Amino acid sequence: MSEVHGLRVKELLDSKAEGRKVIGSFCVFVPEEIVRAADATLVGLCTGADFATSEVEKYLPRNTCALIKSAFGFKLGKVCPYIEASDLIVGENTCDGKKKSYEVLNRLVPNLYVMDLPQVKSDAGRELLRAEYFRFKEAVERLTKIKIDPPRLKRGIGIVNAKRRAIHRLNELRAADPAPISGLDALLANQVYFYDDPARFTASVDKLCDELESRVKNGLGAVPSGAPRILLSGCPMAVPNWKLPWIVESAGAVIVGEESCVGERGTRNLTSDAGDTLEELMENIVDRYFKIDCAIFTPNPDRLAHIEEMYHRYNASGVLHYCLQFCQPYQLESLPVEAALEGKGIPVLRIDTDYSMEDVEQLRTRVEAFLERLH
Amino acid sequence: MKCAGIDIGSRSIELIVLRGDSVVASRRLDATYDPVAQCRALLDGASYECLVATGYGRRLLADTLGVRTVSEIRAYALGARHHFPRCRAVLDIGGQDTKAIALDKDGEVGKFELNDRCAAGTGKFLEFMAASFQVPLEEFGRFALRGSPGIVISSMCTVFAETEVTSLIAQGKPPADVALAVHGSVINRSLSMLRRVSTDTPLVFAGGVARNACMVELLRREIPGEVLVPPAPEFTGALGAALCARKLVNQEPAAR
Repeated sequence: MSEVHGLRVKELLDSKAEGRKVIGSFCVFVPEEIVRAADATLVGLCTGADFATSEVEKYLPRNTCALIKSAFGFKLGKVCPYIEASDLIVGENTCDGKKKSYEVLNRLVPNLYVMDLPQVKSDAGRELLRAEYFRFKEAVERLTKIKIDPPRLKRGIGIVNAKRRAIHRLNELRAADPAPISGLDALLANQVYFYDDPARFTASVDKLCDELESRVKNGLGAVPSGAPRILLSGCPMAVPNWKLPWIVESAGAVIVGEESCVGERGTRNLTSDAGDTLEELMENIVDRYFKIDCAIFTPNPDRLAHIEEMYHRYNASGVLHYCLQFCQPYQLESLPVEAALEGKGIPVLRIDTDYSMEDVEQLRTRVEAFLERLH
Repeated sequence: MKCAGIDIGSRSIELIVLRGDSVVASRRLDATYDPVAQCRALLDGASYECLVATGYGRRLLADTLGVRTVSEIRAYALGARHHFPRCRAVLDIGGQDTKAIALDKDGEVGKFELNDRCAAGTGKFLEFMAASFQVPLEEFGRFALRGSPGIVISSMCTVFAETEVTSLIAQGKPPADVALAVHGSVINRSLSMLRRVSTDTPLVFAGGVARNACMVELLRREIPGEVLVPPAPEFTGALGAALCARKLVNQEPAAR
């Protein structure tokens, strides 16, 4: 973790000195393959802690979600080394909160690029995503002064797929009982996914998986066998937002999967590298990202199916649906998701919270009661 | 053999000691600013083989005295079911929180809801309001029952609701009518939580607020089935914890 905010930043600054560009992003819809194809680095920007809240509320309404407020707090306090190091900051039109706040952020940073995104999984929606990815490719080419050709794009696809494969391997190991790794450690790996050098990340996760494989073989767990197994589902948990997983795991349960952008929603599905032309490879990228079942899409039945599928694949005993307060898309999905899962006999606990610690005891009560229900 | 349960709430602490199915001791103290000292005072002289703590402060006791804990939700479910073995839902309105709990036919906890961080719709809210009407808390329910319906308090916030009450009084509305509306607002809030988890009855209404005659009356008007109030409703959590202690002693896998 110390390296996330230390060594990695130095590396980025060194790479910038060598002429490589840094692109900052707030969303898993920003296609990393295109960034890597131009030898640039994509980093996730800081959104996981309250910072300079009173300053932020000069720019944003109080009832804005903690994630958006956090992004502004880090910017206004100049405490996110990644946003300060970014040559281009990519915003994206996902929820209303984000897209309107980018209008405000645009006055605070000199290099904001806003990507439009579809909200319906229709042909027209796909066409919009395709057009936006081509426009993004051109913006990256202008920034880096590198022409992205098919071999470069193929290489970008390979780099990003490799780190996805490593995470997929980690996920598979978490299905074992007892779970060989705590949810907090696995979440950290999913968080570092957004920061680390991709080759090093892939190698580290593979090494971790080697160790976990032998733990699984020897029946060693992060928790005893029989501990309640929780699937987290909902809003992303950016560094250092560990409040809820910490409450869950300190109550004796283990988190076995994250249906989240910082988790499987963000990392599942590889990008096909079939094809030799730029068009073909770009279509593959569009295909891969168009499957992301973010709650900004309407309707969004794939997400419910994915939660259910994950629940079974990870042998979970219950689903913890986590929402940031004021996150309309996930909050609105939470009741139908809960009703559908409970209807199939899958226990669900809905939690709405933010980044403050003032509700820890209330959350603990709910979580403990939920775990008692799973026994 | 004696088993004890202690419910450390935000406003008060209750202790129940059971021998078999009979309550051999029940005591209550205000939580104050030093709940650990209050717990010790409450436990002083009580004899029991096993103690389980529940309530907001359960971890205080777990940390200082090493006792086992159970969540309030399970404790209220056990306590309510003890009094009324057929009950299918529990509404508990305590000092600072409100819980709605669904129970299956075997009494196992299903879905549940707790109020959010604010005190609106809890006992504290009624206490606050009773004070602004200058009516003792114990009398507030009966005072409100004299009122006529028609007024609606719309504010979700304790402080704003007081402002709303002040302006209704200034408009010359009869105080009992406004007090009835205050109770109605708490009922509406509780019902929206309850309806999310269960519409089954019999419903057990527990917690200190179940002593308020107006709350019981309004709830009975809204719930089509049976609404049951246990004797000493504020002791339901402590009773549940004591039952949990008994299960522990008997090695039943219900407590942790």
